[in-house]
This record gives sequence, structure tokens and C-alpha cells, in this order.
Amino acid sequence: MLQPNNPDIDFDTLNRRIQDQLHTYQEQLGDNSIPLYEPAPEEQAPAAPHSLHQLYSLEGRQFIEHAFQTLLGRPADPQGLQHYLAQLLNGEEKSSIVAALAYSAEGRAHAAPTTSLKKAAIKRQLLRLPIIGPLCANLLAAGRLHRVIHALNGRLTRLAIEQDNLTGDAMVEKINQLSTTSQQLTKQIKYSNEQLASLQAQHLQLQQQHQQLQQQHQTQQQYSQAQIAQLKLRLNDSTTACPAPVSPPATSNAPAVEDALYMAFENHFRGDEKSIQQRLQHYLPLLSNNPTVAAQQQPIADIGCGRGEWLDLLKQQGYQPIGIDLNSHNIHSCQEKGHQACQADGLHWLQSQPANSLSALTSFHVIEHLSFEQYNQLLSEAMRVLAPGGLLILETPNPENLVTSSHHFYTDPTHRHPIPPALSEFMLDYRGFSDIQIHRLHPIPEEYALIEHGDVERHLNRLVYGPQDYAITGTKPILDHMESVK
Amino acid sequence: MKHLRIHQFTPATAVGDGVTTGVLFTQKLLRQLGHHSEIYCAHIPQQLNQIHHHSHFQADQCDLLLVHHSMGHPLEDWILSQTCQKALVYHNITPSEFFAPGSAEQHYSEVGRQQLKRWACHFSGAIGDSPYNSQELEEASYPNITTLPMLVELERFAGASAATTSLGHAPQRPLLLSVGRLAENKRQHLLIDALWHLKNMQHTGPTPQLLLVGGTTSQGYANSLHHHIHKLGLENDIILTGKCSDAQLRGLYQHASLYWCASAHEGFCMPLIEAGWFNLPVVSIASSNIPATLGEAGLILNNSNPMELASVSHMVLTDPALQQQLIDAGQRNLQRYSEATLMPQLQDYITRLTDTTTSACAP
Repeated sequence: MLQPNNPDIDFDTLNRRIQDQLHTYQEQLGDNSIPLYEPAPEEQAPAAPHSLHQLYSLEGRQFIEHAFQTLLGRPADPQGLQHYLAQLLNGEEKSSIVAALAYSAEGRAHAAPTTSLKKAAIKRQLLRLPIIGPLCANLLAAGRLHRVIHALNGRLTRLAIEQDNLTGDAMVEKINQLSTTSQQLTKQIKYSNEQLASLQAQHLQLQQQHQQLQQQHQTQQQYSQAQIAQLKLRLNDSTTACPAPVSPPATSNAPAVEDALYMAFENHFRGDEKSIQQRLQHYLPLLSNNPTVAAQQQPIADIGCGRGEWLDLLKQQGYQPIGIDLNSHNIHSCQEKGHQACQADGLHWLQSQPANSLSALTSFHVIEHLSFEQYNQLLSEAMRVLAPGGLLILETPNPENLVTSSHHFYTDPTHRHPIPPALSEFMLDYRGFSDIQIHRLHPIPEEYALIEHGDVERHLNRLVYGPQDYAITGTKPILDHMESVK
Repeated sequence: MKHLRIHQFTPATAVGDGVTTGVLFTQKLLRQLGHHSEIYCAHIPQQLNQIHHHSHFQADQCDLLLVHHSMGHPLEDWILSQTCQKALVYHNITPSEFFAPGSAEQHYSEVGRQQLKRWACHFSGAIGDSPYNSQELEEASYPNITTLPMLVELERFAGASAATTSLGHAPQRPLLLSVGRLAENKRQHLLIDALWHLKNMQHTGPTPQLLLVGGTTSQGYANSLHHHIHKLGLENDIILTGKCSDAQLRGLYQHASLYWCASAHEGFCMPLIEAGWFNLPVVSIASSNIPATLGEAGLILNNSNPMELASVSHMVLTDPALQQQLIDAGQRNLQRYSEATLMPQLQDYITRLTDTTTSACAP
């Protein structure tokens, strides 16, 4: 029965269940009892060898055991047996092992070694020496060949004697053993064949899958190429200012879904086109007051043009804007409205533009999606691409408003982190822009704010109901050496 | 905490050997406790070159020498001549009656037990790696005895596993596993009988397969097992795999449904802990240290009746709730062997021991 050892288990019940099961089983078993286990007769230990020659004729474990007995006068301890057996299996010569044992402190105490053993002991020491050891090994090997042949002859003789001794019953027993081995091997072969057949079937299946995947890949490739060709044609038609898109066009289902999702998200949260255009009106005087923009010798580019509200406004004012956006749906929408727009990563697009080629660069609610490295790169490229005197406008959520920075900012899951106005100001300054201005925009309407009775309300109104966005603007100085600013 | 020089001596080391694994693990624990710790040994395989030959040991550079004992050996004089404070770490010695008469193992088993008794007064303390071993230390009158199962780094069990089908395991059949060399004291013949009964008890589903993993140390016993399997007509149900790689062994533990142990003598029995690590329920026969090793884990039979072993196993294989209870208990049991549990215990013992004056033998 089971010993209770675990408080989680009800051993009384379990033992009862086992008893019941045993009772049923014994009834079922009836007289059909199990054949008894019979231990095989013990093997007889071979007689101890009388000479070293006889010792050398033994193999493996038997050799080590008898070497211990002969040379140390005691049975081999398990560790010693294991140690020397491993040496023997690794190709160590028997004479070397005999010498090691005979010349150990214990071996010397037990019996005086013979001359042949002395030689083996010296050889063992010699072979262990660095540099000299391997040299000696080669020399010894050359002189040993005839002895190897001699040893092989000896082994052959022993085998012949063994064969002669196999007569009568011994032979029958040997044949029976071989027959059992043969049966086992046949079974193994059968099993291996079955395994092989199964592997071959798997191989065939994998080959078929591979072919199918190859076909799918070809179809996808053809489709992608067709799409790329179509887009290239469309881009060539529109303008040379928009290079081949760096990001792959959306040809598979997955990105199309993602683009559509983000567009739906923007439609839901950002407000309708009319209210956005109203907000953007703020920037029109900045453009008209800028001589470089007003000269209209270079276009205005808007990175992250979205649905094109800003492009609409610019076009109405007589400017020639270019919209850049990653979202294929947005680009399609802008192109339908007759705008020049290209689907590209804004940074890549800027990198592909010649220096001094834009009169203004605008980007609304984009920089908060960028890493700091990308933001830095954007400013660097803007400085290069803007014409001298050209205008940079960047709008982003204003973290000075606590509700914006702690809540609304995170409504867009693709936002990275809020960018404080002071950081933007520092960055534009560092990149060499001049006339840097912060425009704090879109406060919560006053009717929602607290009635101000003192400093507390005033501070709270600023922190909670203050401007929700800000824009930073700067111009590229009209100085030649600024071209080399890092 | 005082940082000491605590070294270890073991007569022989071998890769994968249980005592060697314990010695290396103990060194790790000692070093983590901030002590300086080296291992000294007479037989060192090439792969374990971090171990020093015992001739390099200097007793005056050692605060405490831990001497591992698991078999008799001829290095008694060397051990007793070391003048530093010594503590014995006892891993148990398989009793001589389990070895073939006249064999070296039988001789050194007897020598080992005599040495154990003779040495007591030369040591200031002794660590048993199981309660069973500590009890033997008490009977031999060692002072300051404690039980610390510093045996294995449990993480050692983790690692890649290899496919088991090459060993003959049929994946669709429930796999019963038992690991240990083929030798009389492991009593694998009881497991063969138990499988015969289990097969007869089971009326539905694929019949279980028993894999006996381990090398042969008793050829006569292995021959008898083959003969018995044939006699019971279980050639297609039992496989004697011989030794297999660690990766294959991990694969077997992962695929097995139940672990079996019928051993008559185990100083510790590491596979029982490995089974726990791999969430494998255990059914074992109570003997020697097995109940202590298992603790709350596994189901332990108080007799050696293969029919009962089969009946209990049938119950486990057909009762998922019971299986889960056994898996949970196996996991709880592992905690006792973890570094987190052992380290404070080891430090307490070292502090206690090094505060004690060394015992002296009567002249």
C-alpha cells in the first residue's frame, strides 16, 4: 500500500481504490499467473595471470582488474578502474598502464618491476614532455611497426585457438546467440525501413509545400511589380519633385488595412476639414510676410499632409504646394483633389531633394511621432533644403497643458512623447535657424475655464485650459556659410 | 561575514558522475558565499582541468577541508595526515551485498564502510547529503552532523532535448521511464513484472511502453532481464536502451507519462529529482533514501509487489487530477535542493563548525 507523504492527497481513499482494483484484477487473472523471474547463474571470474605476457593477453576491464591484482596485490578500486579503462579506450598502450601502476608508490612498495616495465615507464615520462614528447612519439612509432605486425599475428593466433576450442555445445550456443542477434537486427532493419518510408513521405509533402509557396511568391512578385510600374507612371506624370517612393507601396492586404485604420482614427479624433482649415489660417500671414515664400520661386512642401486641408488652403492663396505622406489613402485623397502629392517617408523625401529648393517646409502634428534622432535629422535636412530666408513651421501638441500632455497626447497610439516648446526652441537654434518663434495655439474656450479670483485659478487655467498646441517657426538665415552647418 | 579558505577533496572525479557533480555544485555555493574554494583529487579527467591534483594541496593554506566519501579507496593515509580542520561529506556507499562476490566493488564497499567508522574522530563535523546518510554518520559517532543535499545545480537539467524515437520509443504509446544502470540492486525485473500486470489491467487505449535507460554493470543480471522479457512476451513493450545522451534523456523525461523506481538501495537517487523538474509523476518502492529524496513528491509503495506497482500506476495514468497533484508536489520538492535554500544553511553550518575546536582521536 502507499505511504502517506503528501497532505494534498487522500491516501485512505486512494489505497481503498487500489485495493478494489487489485481485487478485480486478481479475479480477472484467475490461474493465469505471471512466469517467475529467474536470475541467470553468476559468471565465473577468470583465473589470475601468472606472467606479464599473460596479463597483456587480457582485454579491457579484465586487463585493468588483473593488472591491479598482479602489480598492487589488491583489487582495482572503482575510481582507478574507471581511470585506467578510459586511458585504455583512448588508445594508451597496455605496457604504459602497467608501468604507471608498477612505478606508483604503491606498486613500488608491492613488488620490484621488471626491465621491460622500466622501459615503458621511461617512455611514458618521455612522451609527456612538451615538444620532445611528440617527436619521440613519431620516432617510436616508426620503430614499432614490426611489433604491431607481431601483435596482430599474436591476436590472429589467439582467435584461431579460440575458434578451435569452439566445438560441440559451445558451437551450438554460439550459433543460437548469432541467430538471436540476427533476429534482433532484422527487427531493427524493419523499423528503420518504416522510419525511412515515413521520412520520405514527409519529404514529398514538404516538396509540394515548397512548390506551392514558390508559385505564391511569383504571383505576389508579379503583382508588386505591376503596382510599382503603375505608381512610377503616376509619379512621372505628376512631377519630378516627387522621387520614387522609398517605402514600398501598399500591395498586400495588411498595410492597406493599417492605412485605412489610421485614416479612420484621424477622421474620428482630429476634427472635420473645415475646423482644421480655420485653425491653419493662423499661418497664412507668416507666409505672406516672408519674402522668400512670397517670391514663389520655390515650392512649399508639407510633410505629413494628411487629407490635404493645408494644401487646399495654400492652393487657394496661389501657392504651389507639394504634399508628402506615408498613408496611401491620404495620398490618393490629395491627388484626387488635384494636389501634387507623393507617398513617401518624409525624411527620405527630404534627403532626396536638392539644397535650397523649398521656400517653406511645414509639418503639422508629425514631430511627436518621431524619435529624437529623427527629429534632429528632420531639422538638419530642413536647413539644407530650404532656400535662404525660407520658412519652417512645425506644429505639435503642447505639453504645457497638463490635460494634453497627460491624456489627449496618448489618444494617438503612434505618438512617442510630448516635445516641450523649450526643447524645440533649443533645437532650431542649435541647427542655425533665425527668427525663432513659439506660437501657443488652440486654448480651451474661455467658457470652460475657471472664474479667476486670484493666482490659483489663473495658474490652474493656464495649466489645464491653456493652449493645447504650439508651433515653432524659424527661417533659414540668408548667409552662405550656413550651408555648412552640421 | 568572514571569508574562509574552504577546499574539497574527492578521491576521483569523472564527467557526469553524481559525486563530481555535487563537488562542483558545492564549490559554486562556497564561492557565492564569498569563500575561496578549490577542488583536489587523485584522478582528474582532461575535461575537468579546473580541478587540482591532491599533491598540490597545502593544509596550512586551508581553513576547512571537505572530504567526500562514497566508496573505499587507498588514500586514507593522505586524508588523515592533513592537519587542517576536516569535515566529511557522506554520499553513501552501496552495501557490499549488492556487488558480485569477490569483485573489486564488493571489496571497496566493505573498505569504505570500515573507513567511515575509523575516521569519525579525525573529523570535526560531517554532512550527510540525505537524512538516510546522516543517520549512518550518527551511528558512526561523527560530531556536528547536518543534512545538506548539495547535489546538483537544478538548472543543469535545462537544455535542448533530442528526439526519442531513435531509441525505439513509439510516440503514440504512454511512456514509462526508469533510469539507472542494469544491476541487481536496481531490481528492474520488478518493473518488467509490473509492466506485464499493467498491460493486463488496461483494456482500452494504446498499451504503455517501458524504457529502461542505463549502462550495464552486471552482465549476468542484464542477461536475466532479457530472458525474463522474452519469457513474458514483452519484447515489443520494453526497451533496454543502454546509456543515452543528456539530450536524449531530456527528451525521454519530457515525453514520459510516469517515472518508475524499484531500487533496493539508493543513497540519493537523482532521477527522482530530474522527474520532478520535468513535471513527471513518480511511482516508487520505498527503500533506503528514496522516501527522503521524494519528500512530498511521488507515490511510495511500502512493499515490493509488482502487481501493486502496476495498480498504482494504472490509477495515476487514468486520473488527471492525481497526476496534477503529483506534478505540483514534485515542483515543491525541488525547492529543498535549490541554491536559495541551501546557501544560508551551508553558511550557518560553516560558522558553527569553524567555531568548534577539532575533535581528537584517543591515542
